Amino acid sequence: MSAALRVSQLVKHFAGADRSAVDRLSFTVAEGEFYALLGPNGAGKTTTLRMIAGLLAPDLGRIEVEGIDLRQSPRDAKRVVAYVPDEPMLYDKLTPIEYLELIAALWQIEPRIARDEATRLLDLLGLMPHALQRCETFSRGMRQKLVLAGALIRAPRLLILDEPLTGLDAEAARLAKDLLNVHVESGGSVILTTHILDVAERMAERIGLIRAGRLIAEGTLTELRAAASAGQDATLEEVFLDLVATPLAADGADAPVVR
Amino acid sequence: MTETSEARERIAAGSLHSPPLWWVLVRHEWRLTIRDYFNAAGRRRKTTATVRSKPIGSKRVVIGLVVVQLLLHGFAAAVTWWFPRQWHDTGVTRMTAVAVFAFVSTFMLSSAMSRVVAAFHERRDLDLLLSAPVSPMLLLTIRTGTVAIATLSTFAFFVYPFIDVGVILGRWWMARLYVLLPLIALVMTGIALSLTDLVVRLVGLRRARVGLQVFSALIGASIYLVTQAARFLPPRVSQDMQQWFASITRVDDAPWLVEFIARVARGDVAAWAALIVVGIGLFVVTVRQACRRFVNVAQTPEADSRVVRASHAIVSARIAAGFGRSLFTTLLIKEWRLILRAPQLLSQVLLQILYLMPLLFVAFSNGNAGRAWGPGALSAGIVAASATLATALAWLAISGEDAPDLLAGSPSRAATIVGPKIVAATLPPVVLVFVASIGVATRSIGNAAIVLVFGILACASAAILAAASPTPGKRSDFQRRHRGRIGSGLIEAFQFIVWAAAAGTAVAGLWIVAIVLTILALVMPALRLPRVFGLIRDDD
Repeated sequence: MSAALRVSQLVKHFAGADRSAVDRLSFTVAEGEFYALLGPNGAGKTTTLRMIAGLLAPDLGRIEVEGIDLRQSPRDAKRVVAYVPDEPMLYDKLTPIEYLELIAALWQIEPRIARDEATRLLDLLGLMPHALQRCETFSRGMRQKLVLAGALIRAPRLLILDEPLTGLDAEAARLAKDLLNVHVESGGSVILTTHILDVAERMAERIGLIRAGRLIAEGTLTELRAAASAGQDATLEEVFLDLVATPLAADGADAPVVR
Repeated sequence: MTETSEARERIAAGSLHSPPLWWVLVRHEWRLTIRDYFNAAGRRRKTTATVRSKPIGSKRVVIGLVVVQLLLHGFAAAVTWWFPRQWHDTGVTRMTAVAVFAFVSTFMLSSAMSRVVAAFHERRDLDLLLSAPVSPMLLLTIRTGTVAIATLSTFAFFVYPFIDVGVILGRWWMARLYVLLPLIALVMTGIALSLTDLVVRLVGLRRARVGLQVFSALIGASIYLVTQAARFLPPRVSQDMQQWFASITRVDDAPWLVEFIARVARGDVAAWAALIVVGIGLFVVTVRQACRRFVNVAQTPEADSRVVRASHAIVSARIAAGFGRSLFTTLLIKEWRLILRAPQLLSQVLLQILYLMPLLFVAFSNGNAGRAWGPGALSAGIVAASATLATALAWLAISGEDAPDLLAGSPSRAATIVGPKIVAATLPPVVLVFVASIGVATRSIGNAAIVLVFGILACASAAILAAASPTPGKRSDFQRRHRGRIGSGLIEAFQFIVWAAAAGTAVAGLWIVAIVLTILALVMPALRLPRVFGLIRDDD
C-alpha cells in the first residue's frame, strides 16, 4: 500500500525554547488509513500537524503528501490536503455559504461540484437552517461543523484534524465520526490528534504516541499493549499513561518504538 | 529564575495574607484597565507569520510616564507665565470657560462611554464576578469608579502639570481645577452609564455595544469638525456663529448654564456646593440604577435578534447564485463584506472620511474659505487623508485577516491572495480622491490632476507598506494597532506628511521641492517592494 503521508526526521525548534518542539520525528500514514497522533499537552502534536499542512516550515526533515514533496511543491501538496485546526478558522461576519464560497474559490473547485457539495454538507451537518446567519452567532459546535464542511468540500486525499470533536455534542460528534469513516472507506486518509482516547481506540487503525517532540511508540492497539507490557484487555488510556510515563533516553537516542 | 519557580514564589507570597475584598476588586479592575491599555500589542494572535510580542514592561512604562510628566511640567513652566494671576469674570473669560468646559465634558463623555462599553460588555468577566459571593453593588461601584478615574486620568495627565506650575507661580485660581476635573469625570461617567443603560434597553445588548462605540467615535469627530467649522463654513455663517457664542457668554443676561459655569470658574461657594452635590449625587444615583440593570443584563442570556432560520429553497437559490466567481472577485467581495459588516470598524474607518469632509467642503466651495485654505494646503490635506484611509483599510484587509492559516494553507498562489486585498484597500480611497479632484477641477484642472496622481500614489504606497510589513492583530484592536509598534506608526505618518507636502508644493508650483519630496516618499515603498514581492512570490 502506498503512503498518503511520509514524515522523515522532522525537526522544529522555536527560538527561545529549551528543547525542540519536534525532534527527529518519522512516521508514515498509508492511503486509506486512519492514524491517530497522541501525546500529552505540549508534546508537539499541533506543531507537527501545522508542518504537514504547510503552515509551518520545518527546520530539518522531509514531508511527502501523496508522494509530493511539501518543500518542493507546496501548492500541489496543499491541493490534496485539508487541515482542521483546534481553533476554527472562520470569519465571524460571513455566513456559512459565503465561507464555503471562499474555500471553493481558494481551492479552485469546479462551481457545479462546489454547489452540490455545499448543499450536501450543509444538509448533512444540520447547518442548512443557519446557512444565511453570520458565524458570530454560532455555538462552538456549529463552528466546528462548518469548519469540517469547509474541509470536506475540498475532497481532500488527506484530512488533518487537530482535536476535531472538541465542542461537539454527542449527535454531532457521532456524525463527524461517521463522515471521517466514510472518508477513509472511500480511500481517503486521516491523521488526527485527540485527547478523547476512546475515539482513537475505536477509530484509528494505527496510533503514534509522541512526547517532547519524539515518537515514543507506534502501532496498532495490540502492538502498543505489547510495548507497554499491558494485558490484552488494557484500554488505550492505560497503555497511553504507561508509555508516556516511560523516561525518555537522556542522550536523545530514540526510545523503544513499536513498528 | 525559571518561570515555574517564579510562579511558585508568587503563589507562596500571595497566600501569606488575604487582603480585604474591596481591595481585591480594585486591584483586579486596575490590573485589567492598565493591561488593556498598555499591553494590546502583547495580545497578538499566533499565526504562521508572527512571533508573539512581549508586553511592554511596567518599569519602562513608569519611566516613560515620569519623563513625559517632567517634560510637560517644563513646557507648562514656559506657558503658564502668560496666564492671568486673578480670574476676572469678563465676556472673554466666560467664552474661554464655556468652550473649555464643553470640550472637556464632551471628550470625557466620549471617553467614559467607550470605557463603559469595554468594562461592562467587552471584558466578559461579569458572569464570573457576579457568580462570586460578592455584593454586586460593591463590584459594579468599584468598576464604575475605575471608569471615572480612568476617564479623568487622560486629562489629569496632560492638564495637571499646568495646574501644578500655575499654583507654584501664584495662579491660585487654577487650584480649583484639581477638584473640578474629577467632578466633571464623575458626572460624565454617570451620564455615560445612564446612556449606555438606555441604549441597551432600547436596542438590546449587541446593537448597543456597536452603537455606543460608533456614537463615542462620532463625538470625537464632531469636536474636530466644530474646531474646523470656521475653515469650511461660509464666512457669514461663521460670523453669525461667533456672534451667537458671544451673545450667550455675556456677563449680563447669560443663560443659566453659562452663568453657572462662570460662577464655578470664579470660585463662587454656592455654585461649587451645587456642583459637588449634583456631581456626586448623579454619580451615586446612576450607578445604583444602572448597576441593577447591568446585573440583570449580565445574568440574562443575550437574545440574538439576527437569528434567521432560512428555508431550504432560499439557501439552495443562494448557493446556486454563488460559487461561480473568480478568486479575485471572491476575495475582493469578502474583504468589503467584512469591513461593511463590522459597524464599529466601519465607523472608525469612516471617521477618517469625516476628517476629510472639511477639506471636501473647501474643495467644492468657491468662496473665501477655499481661498483662505489655499489650493496647496487643500491638495495636501486630500492626499494625506486618502492615504490615511488606505492605510487603515490595508491594515484591516492584510494584517487583520481573521483566518490567515486558511489562506496560507490553500493551494492558491500567494500573489492572487494579496493582490485583491491591496485592491480592496486602495479602491475606496482612490474613489474619494477622484471625487475630491472633481471638486478641485472646478477651479483648476491642473491642480485636480496633481491631486489625483499624488492621491493614487500615496494610497498605493500606503498599501505597499502595509503589505510589506504586516503587523497581524485582531480586527477589534484596529484602533490600538500602533501600540507597541511606534516605528510602524511613525513610518506611516512620515509617508502621509511627505506625500501631502509633495502634492501641496506641486500645486504651489514649487516643482523642484515637489520632485525631491516625491523621490523621498517613494524611497520607503521602493525599499519595501522586494518584501512585497517576497510576500507574494509563488511557492513553486
